Amino acid sequence: MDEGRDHDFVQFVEARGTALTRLAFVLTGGDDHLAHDLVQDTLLKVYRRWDRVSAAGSADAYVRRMLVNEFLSWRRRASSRELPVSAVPDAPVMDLLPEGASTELWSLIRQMPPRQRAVLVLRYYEDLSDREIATLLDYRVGSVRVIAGRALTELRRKVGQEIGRKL
Amino acid sequence: MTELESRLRTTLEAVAHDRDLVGPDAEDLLARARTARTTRHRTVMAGIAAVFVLVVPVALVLTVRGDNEGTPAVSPSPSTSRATTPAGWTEYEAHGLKLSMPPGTVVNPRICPRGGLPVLFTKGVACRSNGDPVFVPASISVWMYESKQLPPLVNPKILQTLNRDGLSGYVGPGWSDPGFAPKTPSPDYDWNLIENTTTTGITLGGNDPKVGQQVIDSLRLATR
Repeated sequence: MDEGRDHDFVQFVEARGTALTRLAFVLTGGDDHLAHDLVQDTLLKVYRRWDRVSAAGSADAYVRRMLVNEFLSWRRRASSRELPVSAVPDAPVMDLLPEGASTELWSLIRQMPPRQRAVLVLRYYEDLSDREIATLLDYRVGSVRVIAGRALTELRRKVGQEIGRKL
Repeated sequence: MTELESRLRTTLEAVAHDRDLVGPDAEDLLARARTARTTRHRTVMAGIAAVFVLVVPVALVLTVRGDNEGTPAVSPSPSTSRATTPAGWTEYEAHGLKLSMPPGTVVNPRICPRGGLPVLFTKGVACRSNGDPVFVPASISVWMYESKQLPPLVNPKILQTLNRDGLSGYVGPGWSDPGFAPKTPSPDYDWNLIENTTTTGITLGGNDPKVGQQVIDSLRLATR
């Protein structure tokens, strides 16, 4: 019985692991080490609950929900256990963004609070509706709209003269 | 959709696909998950056993009182001594083992025999994911236990220090860490560095009291 379960789990990881890693990558603001940690932590939990996950209508949606919530709870745990330091450690830098990407925008997205970033990523990267995001994060739809609205307003404010005029 | 939203979509999509990102190795992950399940099962069983074997008698012996931080603390058993160094470090000694903690940390030692070996539980030191020690009111455990009974876990900076000092034994995440069991279990107490851990706790172990003392000394040095 375990073998079948393990086989299904392995198949799921092989099929969805990369997509989850990409989602984790944008959620974490482009930190691929953190993204891999996040995906592995999540998938280890997925394995423990595989029976429940596979019984869910969409295992993909279930795991994505676990990943995002793991990301948010991770950030909460990190903020309560780490002390601020005077010297900020080196942050990952993306030297050259691919064509079509806005360096300014990505830089601002990375600076956003995790919850705002998560909502924008789910809305504009995962193409989820506000209702789907609300279900995933266990928020009210109105709360999702407020978070997204604030994030967009903040982005517009910060995005600067050069881009701002066009927007 | 506004231009900003359109740019957001394009940027996120481009960033996510810019790197040659690949998902985790499924077989490796499965092996880890299986080990973690076994480890968790053992830990739960050990915890249940400890409640009966240790906590009940300890509760009868120890006096519960509040410490300076307002956190309830269990006073050391009669075999434990506590002293404060001129620099303000609190030193605990029990069973020939000494644990020194910096000022401001909450230390809550409970001396529990496990397989004839002393176990110290402490609070006050945690580590960032990059291995830098920080002092926070979080739990860590520093204990000695018999090899192969509990999973080796990680802390790169402490490990470096311990390796530098030529110690044997093993190090790993605390039992609250669900995920990371050793890639290579070491029967000879080699230090195992397990990458990608997210633990904030430090678990130090070895089954030789002398090693335990060295571990604790190194922890003290590493956290200074």
